[in-house]
Amino acid sequence: MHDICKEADAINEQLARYGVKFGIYKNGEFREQLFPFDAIPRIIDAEEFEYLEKGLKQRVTALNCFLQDIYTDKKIVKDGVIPPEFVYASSGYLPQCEGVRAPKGVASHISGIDLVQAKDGTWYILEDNLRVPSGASYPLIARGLCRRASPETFRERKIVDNRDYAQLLRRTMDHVNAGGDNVILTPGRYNAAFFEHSYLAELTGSVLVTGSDLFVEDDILYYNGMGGEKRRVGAVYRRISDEYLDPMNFLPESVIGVPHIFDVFKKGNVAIINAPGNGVADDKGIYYFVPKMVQYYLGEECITHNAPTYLPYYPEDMKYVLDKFDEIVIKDVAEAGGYGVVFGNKLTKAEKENLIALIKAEPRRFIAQDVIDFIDIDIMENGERVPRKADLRAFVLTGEDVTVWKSGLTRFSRNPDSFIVNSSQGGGFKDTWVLSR
Amino acid sequence: MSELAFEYRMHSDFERPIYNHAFRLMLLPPDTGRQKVLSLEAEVAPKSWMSQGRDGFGNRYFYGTAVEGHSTFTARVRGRVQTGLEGPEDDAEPILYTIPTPTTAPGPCAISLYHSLDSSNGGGGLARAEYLMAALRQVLLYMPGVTDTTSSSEAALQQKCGVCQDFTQVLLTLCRMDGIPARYVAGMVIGEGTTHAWAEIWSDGTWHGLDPTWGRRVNGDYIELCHGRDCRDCLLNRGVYAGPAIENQMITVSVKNV
Repeated sequence: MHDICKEADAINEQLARYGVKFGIYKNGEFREQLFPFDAIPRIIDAEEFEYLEKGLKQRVTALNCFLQDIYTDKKIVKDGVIPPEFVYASSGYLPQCEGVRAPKGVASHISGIDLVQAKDGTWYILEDNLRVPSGASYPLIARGLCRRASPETFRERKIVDNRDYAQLLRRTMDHVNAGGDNVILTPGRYNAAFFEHSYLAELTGSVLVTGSDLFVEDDILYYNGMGGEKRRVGAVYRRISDEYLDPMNFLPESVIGVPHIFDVFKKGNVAIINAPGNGVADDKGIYYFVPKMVQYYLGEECITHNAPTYLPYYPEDMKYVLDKFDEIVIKDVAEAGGYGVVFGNKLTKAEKENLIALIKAEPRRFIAQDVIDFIDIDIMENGERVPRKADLRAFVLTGEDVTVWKSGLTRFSRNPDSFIVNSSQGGGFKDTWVLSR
Repeated sequence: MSELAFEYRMHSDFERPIYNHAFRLMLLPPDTGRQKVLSLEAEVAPKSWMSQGRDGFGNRYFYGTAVEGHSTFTARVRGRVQTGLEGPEDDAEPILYTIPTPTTAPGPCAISLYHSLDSSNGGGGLARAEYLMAALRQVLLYMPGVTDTTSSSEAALQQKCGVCQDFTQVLLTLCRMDGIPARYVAGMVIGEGTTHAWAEIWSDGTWHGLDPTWGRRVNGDYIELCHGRDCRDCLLNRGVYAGPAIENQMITVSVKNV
C-alpha cells in the first residue's frame, strides 16, 4: 500500500490525462475541476462485503418491485403502507409513466446506493440513487492505473478484481435490449460526467451518442452508422435526466433529448436504462419507507439499515424534530447532490426560526435524521495521513440476476469539518477494495 | 345530452423551409363519463410517418415526424361527440390533483387572496369551488396576450389578468389550498374560435366541470381533449424542428350542434 501512496501523484496525472474531471456549477458559473484521487483505499473484508451484498440485493429487488407497482396497480398505497401524497408530491413521480411496465420488470438497472459506516461498525444507507447514478468509472480506471503503478500491491493481497464492471454493465444492457445496438446517450462534452460516458461506451462496446444522433421512425429508434446507414437501437443507457429525455413527452424546451423516444419505449421497441420515473423511489421522503417495501414485497426483514429518519408529516415525528432540533440533520427532499442539507446546530437563531416555520408549513418537504457519527478514513495530505469523512457508493446491477459490483466509489470530504462528501461539493475519491478472504 | 360536430384546423407557415419536424398533437377527444366519441378523423401534412399514443392520464394523441424540408404544416381533426352524459368515472386518483405543481403552487398573491376570503363559505366540494370561482372572477380580468403556456397562476394574479388557462390555474390553486381535488381540462366549446380550458372538481365521487372564464358550470356544449394537473400536462400542440425559421401559426376551432 505504501508503494501506491508514493505513486499517487503519477496516478493523478494519468487521471487528468484521461480527462477524469468533474464539472461543477456554483453561483451560476461552470468550472471543470479534477476529481482528486487519494491512493489509500477503503478496504472491505470478505465477510463484511457478503453482508452488504445480501442487504443491497434485497433492497434493490424491493425498490424494483415498488417501481413496477407504483406506476401500475399501486397496491402498496392501497394497502396503506405508503400515504399517496408521498408518492404524488415527490418531484420524481412522473404521471407520464402511469401504466407503463418496464421490460422484464426491471426499472432500476443500475442502482447507486450510498452508505456510511458508523463508529460502531454498523453500515447505514444514506440514500438510494436510481435515476442516473454516476461514479463507477472512477474506481474502475483508478484500479487499472494503480495495478500498473504498483503491481506488487495487488500480487501480495487478495483483492477481488473490479475490472469486470463493463462486462456486468454490458450484460445488464443486453438483458433488456429490444433488438438492435446498445448506445450510451450523453448530454455532451460539457456534462459533469462526460468522461464516464465515453469510457463506459468504449468498454462496453456501445455507441456513444448525443440526442441529435438518434431519431425515431415508425416507432423504432435509430442512429446513422458510420456509412450513413440506418441502424436500429435496442437499448439506450441514457445519461440524461427524465425531464430532458423527450421534448414530445416531458419538458418541451429540451434540446438535448430525442423526440418520441418515450413513445418507442412505451411500445416496447427499445429499453431505456434506467427507466423513466425512477425518481419516485429514490426520493428522500420515500427513503423512509424502503424497509417497509422490503417487508411488503418480499416478506423479509430488511437487512440494510436506514439512518434513523423522521418525517415531520407524522405528528409524533414533528415533535421529535422540534425537541431535538439541535442534534439532527434536516434535508429538503427536493434537493440533491449535497444541497439542501442543514445541521440544526449550525444555524443562527433567525435561520432556525425560519426553517422551523417552513417545516411546519410544508412538513412533506422535509425529512430529519439523527446525525450519524461515521468513521473517518485516512487520506494523504501534503505527505501526512489525516482523517476525513467518507461514504461509499455501491453499484447494484439488475439484469437476469441482481449483482453487487465488488468495489464501489468511496468519496471523501477534503474539508476536515465537513460531512458532505459529494463530488459536486468538491470532494475527492478513493478506490474500494473488496477482499476475497 | 347533445351531439356536437367539431373541426380543429392548424396551419403553420415558416419563413423558410424547416427539417426533421417532430410533432405531437393531443387533439383526439377521449371517451369519458361525460362524453362519447362517435367518429374521428385526423390528417397531418406533410409527414414521413405518424402513430398514436396515450399518456399517463389516459389522454390520446397522435405524433410523428416530417423529415423533408417544408415551409407549411397543417393539421386537421374532425369528429362527432356525444356530450353532457352522466357515466361512471374511470379516473379515481383525486389525491394526485390536490398537490400543487410549479405552475399552480400558491405564491404571495394567491395566499393573500385566499386569506381575504370567507373560509366557511360554500362548505366543501363543488359548492366551495363555485364560491372560489366567483371570488377569482372579482380579481382577474380577461386579457389575451399577457401570459404564455409556461405562466403560473401566481403570475396571472400578480398582473390581475390572463386568459382561460390562467383563470383555470388560479381556480386549481385555490381549490387545492382547500384540499379539494381539482384538475385542468383543455378542450373546445360550442361556437367558432380557438381551444378553451376549464377546471374539473372532484366532489361526491365524480368530476364536475367549472368554467371560471365564463363563471359557469360545464355542460353539453363542451368537448374535452385532455386533462392533467395543470396547463403543462395539457399542451395540445408540441413540435420541434431544425431550421432558424420564424413560425406563424393559425388555429381555428368550430363546434356545432348536430
